[in-house]
Amino acid sequence: MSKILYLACNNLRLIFRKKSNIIVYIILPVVMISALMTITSSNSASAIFMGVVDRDHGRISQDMISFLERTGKFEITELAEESFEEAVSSGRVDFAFIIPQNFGQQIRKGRPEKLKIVSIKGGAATVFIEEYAAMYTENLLDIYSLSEGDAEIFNRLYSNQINGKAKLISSYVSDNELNKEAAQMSWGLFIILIMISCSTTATLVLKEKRERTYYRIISAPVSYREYIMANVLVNFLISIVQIISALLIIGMIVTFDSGIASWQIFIILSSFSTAAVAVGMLIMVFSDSTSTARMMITLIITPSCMLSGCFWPKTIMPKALQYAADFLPQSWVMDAITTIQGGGTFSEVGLNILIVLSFSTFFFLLAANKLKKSNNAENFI
Amino acid sequence: MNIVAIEGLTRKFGDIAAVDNMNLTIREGEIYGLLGPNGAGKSTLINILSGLLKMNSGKVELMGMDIRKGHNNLKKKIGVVPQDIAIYEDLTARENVNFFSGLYGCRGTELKQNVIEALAFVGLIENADKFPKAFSGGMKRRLNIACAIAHKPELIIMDEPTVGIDPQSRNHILESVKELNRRGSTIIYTSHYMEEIEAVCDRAGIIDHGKLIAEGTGDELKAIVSDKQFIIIGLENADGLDVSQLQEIDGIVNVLKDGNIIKIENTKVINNWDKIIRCIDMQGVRISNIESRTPTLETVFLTLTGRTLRD
Ligand SMILES: Nc1ncnc2c1ncn2[C@@H]1O[C@H](COP(=O)(O)OP(=O)(O)OP(=O)(O)O)[C@@H](O)[C@H]1O
Ligand SMILES: [Mg+2]
Repeated sequence: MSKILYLACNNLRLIFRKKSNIIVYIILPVVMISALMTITSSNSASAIFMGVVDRDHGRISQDMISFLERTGKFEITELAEESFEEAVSSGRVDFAFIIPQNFGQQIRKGRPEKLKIVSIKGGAATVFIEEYAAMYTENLLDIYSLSEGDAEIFNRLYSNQINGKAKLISSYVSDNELNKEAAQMSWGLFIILIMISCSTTATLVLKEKRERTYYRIISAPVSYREYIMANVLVNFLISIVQIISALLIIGMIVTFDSGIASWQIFIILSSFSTAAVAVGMLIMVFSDSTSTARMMITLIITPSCMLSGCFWPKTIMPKALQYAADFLPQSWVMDAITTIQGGGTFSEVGLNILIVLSFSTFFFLLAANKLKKSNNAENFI
Repeated sequence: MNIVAIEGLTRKFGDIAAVDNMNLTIREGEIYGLLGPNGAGKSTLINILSGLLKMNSGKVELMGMDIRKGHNNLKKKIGVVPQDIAIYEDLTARENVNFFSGLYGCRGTELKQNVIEALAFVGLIENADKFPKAFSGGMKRRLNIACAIAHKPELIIMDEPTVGIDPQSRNHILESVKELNRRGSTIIYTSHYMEEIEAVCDRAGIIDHGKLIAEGTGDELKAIVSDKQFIIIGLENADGLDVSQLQEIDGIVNVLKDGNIIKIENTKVINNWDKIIRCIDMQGVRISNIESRTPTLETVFLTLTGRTLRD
């Protein structure tokens, strides 16, 4: 054991002697995740410039616009029918929000037309408005269904809502949903970073073999197993440090609630890091050089993370792919994070953690088996 | 006492036997040279001795212990200087020696002391805190040695420690080998260079194709060929030459045909040049050049293997 620690210390010294590695291993992942959390969380986002074309000019549409204004997310300019396209394309507004003609009427009938958003940037900037508008419309439709089609009742309920209890609506349209999704994607990215850093650390073994220092270590009273264990230990240690620093920094600078307790995220991600270390080992034992390893890292990590929902919610993918993703540990981690964020208890993700740990065990055994077969200690002599 | 005792050692890579049924003993306190051309099996033998490679068959005893029964205790007493420079570019010379000798279990002030001694020994003490990036090839070679000797091993195995360095560093290394030996270590020294082996080794073994083909002190080895001479004959066209007729001539030990050149190993005392020339002439082959070589250690090798030491 003391030999493993001795080797591990030397590994750490070798890795962090290069100042750039401190950036690559620790600062970059932490900065990236906290930046992502900050940017994507609407609380701290800078105001979005929104142009509104109100084709309805009714009470409902006007109320909706002032509601949106009150959310504080949008800098609203009323645009004329002829000028909105120009405003969008010139970048004067980030997007134009178009309330269709007779929108109020349609609400009263319970069948509103879809609200239209015109933008050149696509997705990102319009996420919030889509979400808010959908919530607001839904709320109106709730009133509609309460009134059971009776215009009198609708008007009364509506007035109540707007005048007295408008707060109700705004709290209903809270930021939480959006924050959760943003946080989830940020953790997805963090998972990718952990995987890349683990594989990079594991493949340091290959570098040592190429540079022959490995030869020297093995000719001392050190067994191949001790040598590999030291690498695994360092690898695991680094990912734990990454996770802890990310959680600390996020706790310090990001004030909003990401919907998940730190210790839960810590346990979920730590269990995942064992899998990441094991994947790193697998890549190491199946590559004969650093360049093959690098290729394998690209070919394995990016696609498997895509499939597992680290980049986008898994639900947008075809069913077959979603099933395939069940065979990837990242999938179960993302799922655990989603569950916790959706208000699930920690015991609900126990199974996920167990599955992730089984993946790790399986990968480790696979790697160990391959090592045994290829008699890897001899391969680089 | 024998520090190394090898019996019937074989190690194969696929079909090639890198070490082929080798028998070899090395006595405590000697400097033993291993001489052989590229691919002779020197490094393979050393890797087996240092516990990096497994053998296919045979028996190896180091310091009286069978290496198959736990190499870890033995490894502590061995220092290996690998053929390729094996040091961390990102660590200073001192850190390199410190780390590698620490692997042998030494710690604290004793370790520090050993590191300083080793660095001083190879003449790198002034550069102890510099990174190997700034080192010349010779300095790196010397650091490569320091990393292997700081833990004061009983047996030091050096695999071509002087490859690709300047004469000054080479002399320094050769002197250190002798000094290490004076301080009590047994040394196995491999090289392509006959002069090096002659300069430092008490005894040497010549290996080729995984076999030990001759062994002895420098003089003993030279004695193998002292009564021999080599005749190198260039021919205009050797296709029609029947070598077996040459072999029948009295005094000829061996004939090698290499393209249009034939190399004849001949017994010095017998005067048979006329017969050789007549034999070639009668076969209708024209001679373009004749040259005779007196034996050197280099030719010992040629005699024994039919090959030169270096390509
Ligand atoms: N890991 C290996 N895999 C396959 N063949 C090998 C391996 N190591 C050595 N060999 C083969 O075994 C033979 C002996 O090689 P070895 O390295 O022992 O020679 P050497 O005497 O050290 O040569 P050199 O002077 O070039 O260092 C060679 O034919 C070589 O190709
Ligand atoms: Mg060699």
